[in-house]
Amino acid sequence: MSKRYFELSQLKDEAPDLFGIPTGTKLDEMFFKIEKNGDKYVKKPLGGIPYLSVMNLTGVPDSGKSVLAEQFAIHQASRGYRVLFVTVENPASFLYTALKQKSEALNADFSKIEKNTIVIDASQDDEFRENPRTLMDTMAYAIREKRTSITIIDSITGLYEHKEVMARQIVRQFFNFLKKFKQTGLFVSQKRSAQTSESAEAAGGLAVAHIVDGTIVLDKKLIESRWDVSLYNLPLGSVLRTIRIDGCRVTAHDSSTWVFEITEAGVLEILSPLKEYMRDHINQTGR
Amino acid sequence: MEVIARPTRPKGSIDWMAEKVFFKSIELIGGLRKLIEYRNLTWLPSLAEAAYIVVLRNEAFKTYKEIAEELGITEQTARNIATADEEEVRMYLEGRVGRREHIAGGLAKLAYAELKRSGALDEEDIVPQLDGKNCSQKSCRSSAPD
Repeated sequence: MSKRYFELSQLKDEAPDLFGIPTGTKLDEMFFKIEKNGDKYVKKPLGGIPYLSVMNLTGVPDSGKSVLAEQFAIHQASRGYRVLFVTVENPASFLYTALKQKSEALNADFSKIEKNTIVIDASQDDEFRENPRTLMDTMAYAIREKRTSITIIDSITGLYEHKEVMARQIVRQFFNFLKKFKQTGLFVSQKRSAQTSESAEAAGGLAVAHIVDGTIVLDKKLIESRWDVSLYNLPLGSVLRTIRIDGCRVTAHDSSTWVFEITEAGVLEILSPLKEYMRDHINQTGR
Repeated sequence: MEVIARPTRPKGSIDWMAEKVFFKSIELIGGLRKLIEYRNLTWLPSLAEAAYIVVLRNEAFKTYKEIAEELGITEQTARNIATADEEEVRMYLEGRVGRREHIAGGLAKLAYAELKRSGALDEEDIVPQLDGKNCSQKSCRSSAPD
């Protein structure tokens, strides 16, 4: 039986070091730790999402959740780390095409991505989606046999789509599973239409946000009225995309809203904080 | 890119876990011989059903409706078994109280709780890898990305 209580000092050797697992985007500079430098405390970028953390990516449809998850997978696989990608929505063959195209856009060696990415296709087999235990058992096999260190589930919502009342238990099980198997993880979670787009809330309520180590909210604003044109100084019909870290219990982080774009090649590029973007944009256009 | 499109192996499956719960339940009441001695073999079908209900509810997160459909029982039966008071069943088995609860349900829940506590239903632990091979956490730190 595992031990049920500890003296704090006994946890020293088990406690994970605080460093980042890079995503290859500016998100890596948005997580930081505070270190003492002489008499002063300084902010030191972590260089990625915290090692062994399980982060939640949420947002409305087409906000870029899967794009970011795939980009993270490509970046890690191209660095030689094994990635387990559990695809719940998109069939594996389509995921292959998406990863290939993004690899080319990111100038990554696709042969490395192919070699280092293990995919569990839960989109085609009901047993994976309906029975979390079966999926976890297969994930355990992949982690053990294929030696993965990063796990992405796109999306966790697909595992409780028709029974959101069970969301908390299911998310908790997968969260504990990734902790037990010492994976750095990303859960992609969908929003429901009644939920505000800029909040951490997702399908299943706040269950996912409360359980995971942190949430990254992606949002998009369609410029659809004269008021929007005036406020954002963008042409009618354009889209303003934003990203924000909505809490992380593992480390300190930038809490401001940043602007990003998804390039024509389908790559997510974080540009600058919203306030700077607005200021620069207004200066450029002279309005 | 390796694609795993089918579940890997039976360990961790519902059948595997239900069997573990079933046999643990028999062990808790003193073994199969005890059932024969007390002419209680009729408990076995109920116990098998209860083992599945407890596992489907707690491991597969099935709703009572889904459990009822899968096992061909009523939703109320699934609910009665899944919510049986295991402590009262424990006291009944120890002869301290009369029978009031669903015995098989409480017994399966006791067995399930004991298996969970001992880790007998779980996967083995694994150490992380960050450099292409399994390693201890300490050595992983040295090979961690900059």
